[in-house]
Amino acid sequence: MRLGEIRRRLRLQAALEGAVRGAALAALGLAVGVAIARGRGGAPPVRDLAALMFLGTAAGAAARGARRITLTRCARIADAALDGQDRLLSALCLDAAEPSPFARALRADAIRRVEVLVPGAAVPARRPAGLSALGLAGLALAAAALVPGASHAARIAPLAVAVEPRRPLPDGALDSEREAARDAVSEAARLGDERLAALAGELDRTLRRLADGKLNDGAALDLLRALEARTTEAARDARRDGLAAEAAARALEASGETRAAGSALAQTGAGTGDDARAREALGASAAAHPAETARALTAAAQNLAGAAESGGDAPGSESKEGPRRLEREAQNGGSAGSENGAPRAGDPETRHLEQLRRDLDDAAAACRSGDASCRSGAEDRAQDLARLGRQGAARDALQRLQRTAEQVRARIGRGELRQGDTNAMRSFGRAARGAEAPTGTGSDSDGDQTGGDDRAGESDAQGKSSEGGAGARARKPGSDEGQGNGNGNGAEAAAASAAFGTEGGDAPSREEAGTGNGIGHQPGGPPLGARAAESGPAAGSEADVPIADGAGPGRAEVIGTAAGHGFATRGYARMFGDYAAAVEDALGTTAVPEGKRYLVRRYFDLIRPRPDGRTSRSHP
Amino acid sequence: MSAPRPSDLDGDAAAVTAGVAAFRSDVDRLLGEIGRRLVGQHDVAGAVVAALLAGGHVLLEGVPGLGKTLLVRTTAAAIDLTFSRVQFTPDLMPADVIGTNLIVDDAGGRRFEFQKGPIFAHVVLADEINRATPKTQSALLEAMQEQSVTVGKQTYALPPPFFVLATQNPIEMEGTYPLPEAQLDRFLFKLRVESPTGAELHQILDRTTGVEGEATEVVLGRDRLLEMRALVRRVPVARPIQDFVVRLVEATHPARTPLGEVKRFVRYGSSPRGAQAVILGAKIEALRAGRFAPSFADVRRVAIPALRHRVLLNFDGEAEGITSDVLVERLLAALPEMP
Repeated sequence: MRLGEIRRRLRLQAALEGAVRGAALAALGLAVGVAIARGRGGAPPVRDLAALMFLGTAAGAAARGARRITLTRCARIADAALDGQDRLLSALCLDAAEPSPFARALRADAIRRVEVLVPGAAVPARRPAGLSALGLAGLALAAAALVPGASHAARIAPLAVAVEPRRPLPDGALDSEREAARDAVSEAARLGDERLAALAGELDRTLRRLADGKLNDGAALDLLRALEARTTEAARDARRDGLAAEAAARALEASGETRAAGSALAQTGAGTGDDARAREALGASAAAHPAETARALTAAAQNLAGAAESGGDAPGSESKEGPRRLEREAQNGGSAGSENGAPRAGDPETRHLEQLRRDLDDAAAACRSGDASCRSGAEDRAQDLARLGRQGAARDALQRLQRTAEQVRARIGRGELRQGDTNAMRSFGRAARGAEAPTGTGSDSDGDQTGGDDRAGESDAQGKSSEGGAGARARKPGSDEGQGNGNGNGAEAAAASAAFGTEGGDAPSREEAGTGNGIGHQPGGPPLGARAAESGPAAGSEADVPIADGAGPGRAEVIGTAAGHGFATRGYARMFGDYAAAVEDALGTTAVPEGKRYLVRRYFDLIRPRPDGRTSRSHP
Repeated sequence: MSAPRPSDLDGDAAAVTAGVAAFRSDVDRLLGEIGRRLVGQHDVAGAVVAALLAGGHVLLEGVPGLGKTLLVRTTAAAIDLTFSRVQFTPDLMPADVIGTNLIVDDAGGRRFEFQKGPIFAHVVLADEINRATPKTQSALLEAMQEQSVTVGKQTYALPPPFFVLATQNPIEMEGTYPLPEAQLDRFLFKLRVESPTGAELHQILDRTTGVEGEATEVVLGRDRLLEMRALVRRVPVARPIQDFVVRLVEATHPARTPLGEVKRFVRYGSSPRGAQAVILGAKIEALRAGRFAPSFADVRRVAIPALRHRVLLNFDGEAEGITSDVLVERLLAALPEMP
């Protein structure tokens, strides 16, 4: 019957489709195999490939062709080719199940119709599915077989960015820093300064863990950065304490009756005094000369408040405004900025100083009124002032501690602590120190600077920075100064003049002369490069000489120039701050893996601005 | 399967073949006669005749003036059936529909005599059924289901074939009593009567505003109608097709459907009566096409009128403006005919 023919055609189609898919899979697998074999330097045998292809094709055809094809499916296909009314399907299903007259009539009807059915129309030949896959697989196989691959030896190992393993540092790698930390511990013990002792101990522990390999570099950087910040703050507070204590001691020394106490306190502030001696001296003074002692204590309170209020910037200030302002800030919670070490109202140190000032005032009042507590109060205040002086005496140790932490951080950043990085860092460090920087000894004697207008010293704020304008670079020799229009203030003009002179060697030709309008800020140096001849080797690589038209180098130029000068240009330092702040901000708010965090910080440490020691900013 | 020639058919099979051919011819004549009086509405007329042949009842939904009454009256007249029309109003009482016992005083004395209501007809047009109270609706719907009415202690059988065609106006819903779901289920099909097209409207005007045409001819007798009903019941259904109907009806239930929209918008799916309606309708479709068994296409053709009033939407479905027609269409598109 026709259904059998339909089934055969369906099976043939399925087998063909299976063959195509099998061939596609075989080709894909062979492509992978060939690629691997070629990668290992071998050559795949063609006969084996052909055999595998044949096997894959045959397997696919057999797998699909052997699938069961039901008569119901054939009937549906035949029905679809007839009139879509499922006559054959119904006849097939009802023929066995229901031998009713209706079923017999249905069967006769189905047979009559299927006789006119052409199996080829029911199952038309069609393109087997999977041909496109076969084509792609064939292409992949051809590519794997024909495209030349890099040899094993020619491969470049990918640059591995790995977190440095924790391993002990080489012996002696941190000896100097640990010695500094131990010195700070000793100093803290001598001064009795717990704050210094704690910070020094923490640094020592960090260094020990780092040396033992118990701390990776990224974590160490974080710890050191935090420690550095705390040490800096402690040093600032110590400086205030010291200045405040010195001011108070001076006030006491100013009076004949309390001079002995003042001297004792001054020695205490220098780290050599004795608390008991100061206490005894001031107590004796209070007992013998209460009125004079009261005046001295009042003066000491005022001096202390003044010193505290100025944050040490104006030591010895005896302004009477000081105590009032200190009080006001303490009461208001103050909005005074803390920049530049200025006291912040409300911080513990400010409160402590304010308390001490009040205590001094109270003691003075007691002595002035002849109160019995005059002596004891004076002794206690002497004790307080001595303690304050000792805290102030720790400022140098704290600063050394801060520098030590900074130094270790820098060394970690440069990778100096790791033996394997030493060589790489050495070359970079050489570049960073500007070893390759030009050391021109150019003479400005042939320069055509005149600079006369600049020396007039008319100040114009334009262009203190190197971004100020084209021609701002001293290494762009020319007549910046010479054509200056006198808008600059003397300082900058002088710098420009000097730099111009020293950079003469860097300028091979006077034809490169800039056309900028030199602007100085101070009286200019000797014109026509006379001073440059004295300045010897060019230390300067930058002169912030703006031009009137405002055009200046972009950031890329600034960075490029800075890289060529050991990252020691001033413009670069400012720009670096922007980027570093953005990076710290991003690292602080983003989940960055520790290894990557370390890489970023290390990179920024490597390119951090260097001290401006080489930059010629020589003033006349 | 061997290949017997048509001439090899036995007597029963030959009779079946002849019976199917006669069925098709009679239905065509009936529809032709209806079409001679009714302009357009071919699908509605075909479905009404199918319901009549299946022994079911039809709920027609459409605005007034679309020829619903004419359709029913013509159908009844063409089959030589008695016809009655009941205009349902809020004050209509059950006795007004099914009849009541009256006291009759004659020579034998006084006695109760049952006075039949308009329901005692072969074809009953329940016009605007949703305007009557539920009590009256129930009286009619009980008769539809039981094919009999009970008054007092006496049960009266309704004359076969008993065919109810109810209408409801989908626009004027104020002061109506929508049919409960259980009563909607009693209707084999729910048909929507659409407005005529422009060409059909021309024909309507030509036929109704001129000289009155010829009366409806009787093309079928009542007995022939009953024979045709019996033939419908004998039509076999192949298991794959019945399986498709079962899966379709099951898929109208939110808990068993593969279609997300049904899960989301349907409150209740179709009852088994829905499957019965689909199968019966498919059988009649097959016979009308001169075939001996329904096909998947027949099922698809009757599925919507048979299921649309049995798929009840939930609040989300109503709020989203989903119709049960759309859901049944999606089910028909989504369900494979043979899994």
